[in-house]
Amino acid sequence: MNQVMIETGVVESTPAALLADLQELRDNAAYRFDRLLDVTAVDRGETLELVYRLHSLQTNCDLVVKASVDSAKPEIASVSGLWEAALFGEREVQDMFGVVFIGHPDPRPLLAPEDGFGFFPLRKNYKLPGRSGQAGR
Amino acid sequence: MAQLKLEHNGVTACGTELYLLNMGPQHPSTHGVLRVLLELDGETVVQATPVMGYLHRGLEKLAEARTYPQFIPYTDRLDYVSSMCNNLAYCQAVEKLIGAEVPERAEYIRVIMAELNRIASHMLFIGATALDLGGMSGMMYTFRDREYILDLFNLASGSRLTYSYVRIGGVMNDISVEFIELLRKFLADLPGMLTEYDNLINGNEIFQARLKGVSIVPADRLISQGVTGPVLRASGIDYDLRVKKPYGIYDRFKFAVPTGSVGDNWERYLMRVLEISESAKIIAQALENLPEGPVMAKIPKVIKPPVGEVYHANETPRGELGFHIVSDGSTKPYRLHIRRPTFYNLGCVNALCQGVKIADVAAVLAVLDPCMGEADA
Amino acid sequence: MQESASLWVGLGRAIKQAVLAATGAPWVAELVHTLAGVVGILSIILLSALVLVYLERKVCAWMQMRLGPNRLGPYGIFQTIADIIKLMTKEDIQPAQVSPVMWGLAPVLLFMAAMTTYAVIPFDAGVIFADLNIGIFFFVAVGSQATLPMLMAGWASNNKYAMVGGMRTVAQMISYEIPLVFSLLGVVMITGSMKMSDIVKAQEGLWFIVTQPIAFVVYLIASVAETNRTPFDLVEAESELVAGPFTEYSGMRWAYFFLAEYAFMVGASCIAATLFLGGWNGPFLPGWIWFFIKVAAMIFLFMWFRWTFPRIRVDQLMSFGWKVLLPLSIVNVVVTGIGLWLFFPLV
Repeated sequence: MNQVMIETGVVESTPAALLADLQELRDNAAYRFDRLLDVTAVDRGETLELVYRLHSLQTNCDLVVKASVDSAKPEIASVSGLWEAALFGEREVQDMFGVVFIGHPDPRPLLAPEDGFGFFPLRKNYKLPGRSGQAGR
Repeated sequence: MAQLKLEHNGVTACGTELYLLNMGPQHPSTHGVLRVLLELDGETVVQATPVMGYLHRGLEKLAEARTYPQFIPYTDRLDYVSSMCNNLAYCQAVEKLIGAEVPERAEYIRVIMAELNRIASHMLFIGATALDLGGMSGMMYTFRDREYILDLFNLASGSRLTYSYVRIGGVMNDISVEFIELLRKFLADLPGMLTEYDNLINGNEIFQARLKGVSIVPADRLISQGVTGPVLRASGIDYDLRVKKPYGIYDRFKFAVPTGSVGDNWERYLMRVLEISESAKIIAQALENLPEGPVMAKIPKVIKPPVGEVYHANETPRGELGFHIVSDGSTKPYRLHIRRPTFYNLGCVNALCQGVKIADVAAVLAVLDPCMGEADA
Repeated sequence: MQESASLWVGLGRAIKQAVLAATGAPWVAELVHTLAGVVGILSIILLSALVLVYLERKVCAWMQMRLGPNRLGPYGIFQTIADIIKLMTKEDIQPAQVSPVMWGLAPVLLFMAAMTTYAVIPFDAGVIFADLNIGIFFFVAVGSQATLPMLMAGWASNNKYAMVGGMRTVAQMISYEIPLVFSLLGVVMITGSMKMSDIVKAQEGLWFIVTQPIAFVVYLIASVAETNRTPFDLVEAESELVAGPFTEYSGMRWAYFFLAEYAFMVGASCIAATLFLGGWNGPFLPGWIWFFIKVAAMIFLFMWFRWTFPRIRVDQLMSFGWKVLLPLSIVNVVVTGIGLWLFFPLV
């Protein structure tokens, strides 16, 4: 990774390297991203793009780390060991996109009912039911 | 008799058998439909697990089926106590995306509205906290004063709670002379109101004893949990988006950001009280420099932003509210994600509740000031 | 005693004589006289609850800049009557998992304990149901019986909020019983009697609030705690325990608890008026009106506390009771003893 330090720079990572990359970003004295502000995902069709929004209180810099996982088998390492904020953020992504976060200590649904929705509402293949109940608007 | 276990989860208490108490979703002090599973040892909390989602309406999915202006009313329903701030954050995110310029007068009006809403929200907070600690009367006084602000909003936007006043490219309509007069009167009355709160609520020995020294959590733990807003500032972290990453025209105003040192419930409470008068300062400055001119920029009827991504965050009364919009060039957002401050702030419920008494759970939930409409999206 | 001046004593005597003349049997007259006393006390409790609920709401509204009840009748004075009709006609809901006997008995027992304390309250010269020579002792002993029904209600409800509330009751009432008793002890030491009428007579010159100010303050605080009102309403603690032991009660059963709470509050105010504010003593007006005024002042004080103070926490409650109130009341007893020994050595 380059030493990007612009406002809201974007860094691409891979599912395999994500944990190590984020650990580096958190612990390396040159970056010191001590906060994970948000975890979310974007459905890109074939892949699900996970978005980790980091912030450093020391340097007041933002950084977005992205990692794409396969939509058919979305699995990625949990970063909840690095930032506790991921405990909630990853559970939300799990409810909404069906991403499995390996190593998450409490992978129960958070916003979804206890047994889940039965579908993943924020994926593009889920169509909102219309006013009369049919799918799609 | 079973072997006495004197320590559970690092919490030392009387060491009786643990039992589970389900606080919420319908409970007088959980601010909406939050449910907290309390594992208790006598009166001492060993583990507190927040359970949410009772108010989940799928706003992020709804946004994908709405055009950009159509989504503004939905932001009202995020944190329904500070709708102006939500409107502002969303509209500024869209403006960032389409590169729109906002007229000067509109910028000033936006600041006035956002800060007024911050005051209203904090007034509600003070009253609700007093109520949660058993002081019934405090709430009436703060709600009486919040009513002033709601009347002002009603005058400007025609609505008392869900304003949709801030629009993409400006604000809905100009504020009237009457509004400015009433606002000046409100600012003049505000110190008296705060003195009244000091006498009735803040200055009460029992009130202070209930909050002081309770739920002290190291600041780095809160940082790691993604906590933002007054809760974080109470732990001594001087981080306010209005100062650190000024959006709109916030860099033109002089105001202090109150920060705490101990990081107990009392300071979390005090942050809000102090922020009220700081917000009043901002409003006074904005009123003084309010320029003449249009309040709406020339924005195309159909908003078609370029392909791209944007993230814009505002400091709402509860913390950092961010809108992450992914655009595919059409009239509707491809993906809209809301970084809700309450959602992440609730992540620290367990850390704050461990080792305190049941009564303090109500206090912790009060000082976190959660708004479940926001947390559950 | 200037008994001829008292309206109520004359009334009681008239009833007794009328029955004696009608039946000719002294025991029947005695029985009717006693029953009249019971009815009198019961009506005092019910009437005071009726008025106090309305007053509480009006006082609360006044302190909170509201109007309070104002729909039914002039100034809403029939609001409580409407409430009573509502409570009486409500369905009697008994949750499936409660322990029926204990659960059903608890509100009645609590109300009985509250009612019994009225036996020793001197409303006027000679107007006292039973002027026992251990009057204060009786009040304290019977008053503390309130602990058990609360615990019964909490345990039998099979609800964790109720259980925690019930446990809190026991802890709170036992802790505050002790400073309460010690604060009363000062008065007993000065008077040399536990008989209510003797205590009131001893205050004909000077009220004990002047000679025993610390005892009065301790009694006031402890009795607020005993009656479970804010800032010591941990038992009900609306924002924590929903309603404590009363969570599973509704309709008339709940109304019994409510009635008992007001009965205890009035009882505690009566004792304060008797022991510290000179009872029925006062110039110009008849004794019972003076007593009424003093009790009303005490009740207003209770309401004032309730609507301005937040609730104290359970550990603070305990440490305040044991570390502040108890030593204070013991010091008061010691100081009273030394004072008596210095100024009135061995009367």
